[in-house]
Amino acid sequence: MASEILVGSGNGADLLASPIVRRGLLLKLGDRASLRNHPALVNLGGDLIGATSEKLNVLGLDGTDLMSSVSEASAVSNTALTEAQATVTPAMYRLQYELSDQARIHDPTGALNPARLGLSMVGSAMMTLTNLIANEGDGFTATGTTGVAFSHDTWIATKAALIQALVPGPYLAVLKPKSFTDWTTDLESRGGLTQWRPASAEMQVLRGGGYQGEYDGVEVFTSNQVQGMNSNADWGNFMFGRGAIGYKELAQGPAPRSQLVILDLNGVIRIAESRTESEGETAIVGHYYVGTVVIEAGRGRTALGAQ
Amino acid sequence: MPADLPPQYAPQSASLGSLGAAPSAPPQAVRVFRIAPSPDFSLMASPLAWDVFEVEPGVFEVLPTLQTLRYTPGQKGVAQVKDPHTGHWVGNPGRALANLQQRGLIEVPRSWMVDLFNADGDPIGQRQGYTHKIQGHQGAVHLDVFTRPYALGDQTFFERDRKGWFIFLRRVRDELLGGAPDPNVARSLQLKLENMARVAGEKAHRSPSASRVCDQIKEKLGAFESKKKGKK
Repeated sequence: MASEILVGSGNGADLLASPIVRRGLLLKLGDRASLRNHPALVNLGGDLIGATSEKLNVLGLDGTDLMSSVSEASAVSNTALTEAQATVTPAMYRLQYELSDQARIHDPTGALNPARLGLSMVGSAMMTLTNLIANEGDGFTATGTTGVAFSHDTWIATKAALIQALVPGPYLAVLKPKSFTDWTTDLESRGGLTQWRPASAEMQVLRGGGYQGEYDGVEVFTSNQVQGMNSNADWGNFMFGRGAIGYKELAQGPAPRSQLVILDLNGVIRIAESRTESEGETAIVGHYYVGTVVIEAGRGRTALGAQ
Repeated sequence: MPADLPPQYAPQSASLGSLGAAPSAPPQAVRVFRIAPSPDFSLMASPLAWDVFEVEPGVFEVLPTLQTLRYTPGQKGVAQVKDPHTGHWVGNPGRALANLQQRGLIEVPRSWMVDLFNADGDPIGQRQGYTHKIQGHQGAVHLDVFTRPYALGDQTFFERDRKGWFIFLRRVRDELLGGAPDPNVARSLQLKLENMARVAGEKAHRSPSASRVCDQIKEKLGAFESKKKGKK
């Protein structure tokens, strides 16, 4: 037989470009596990009028002051109000991609267009917030000890410290993947009454990719944003209850003269495009005005795990 | 040159027009480390934050643990301001430092001279300040001077100057924290470690990892024993 059309040789091979680019895209490995929507975090709202930072008041009410017994017809003296303050100082974060008209025409991925890049920026904003939260999490009182791998003893000590400090739930543990695997390896060799409940696929969809499961009433997330401590000898994992960490995202309106505006999550992320017609280029810019704060340091613990 | 190397490593030539072609100069090696960008930072000491470090194999010492205040705008009260010299928006840690100082933390002076050693523990000189800036693949990276990156293949590894770091911690202890932890703080640290050793020890007979943790903590507790013996 001759003159067959084969893709491996002859005319058939000539018809094919080599290498050809596959249509579509695959996501590169990376940390995309956002903590934003976990109920242990306090959303401090989207307004900030008259100043660039906001003070939060923490009051000792609703049972923290006990009453005094007094004798008949005696006056009771005043009790000083217990109060503390925390200050959140949001900062503007931005990300920009710019693409030419040719890049858009020849794009084999389907991602080189303002709408897709704009949606990608929502993920970038969420990870920026998660990074800020991880930066807050390494400053609590430490449990565990330097140079020792994160073990079940560290877990127990951390949760015990929160309970002993009267911290209400829900609790959230954020662990570096290395510390998490150190812990699960340790957990496997221990016997005990409490069961590790790994995340089901459905729960991972609900909670996000970093959700690993639940242990003893504490939801466990892994995050690559967890910071190094002690000159990078340890990871600053953290566990906290609601009221320890808060975040403030300032709401934004649409910018004038913009053709595309995405206002995501109640308008706290604004993405717009900016066109330079003479150069045939389109820039996509994401804006996120965000800050985090430790509202009450006693509600969290930094759990050391060796790197 | 072996044929299986990627084309970017193949010999290059430059056109000289009518004179033919000449081998071009080898490309300059620009080492850009593959580390995510990170901002400048201050180290903060606290009279309440101590731990037992293994300063040499089998030798343990009670030293302060330091908190890192990264100048990342938006967290811990770090404000965003315009740098008058560069025009860039950067983190201003003023309020954050004040907040931490209010909680009893002390900033380790950024102007300190620090001793540096190589990986074998041989002295390689001194340097002013404990932070240094290097170029990462996505921007500036700030590290403490005791963490030195090196590239191998397409990956970045870190060499840690443990000796220098412990000298630095001893200086923090002696010059900022009164030379030793408060007896109550030291006792509380000892109790924490004893408790960890007890909890791990109870499971040591059926869990090899609990046994290992128990041994590690017991070794650390030796730091307190030797201190007591020293006092006698």
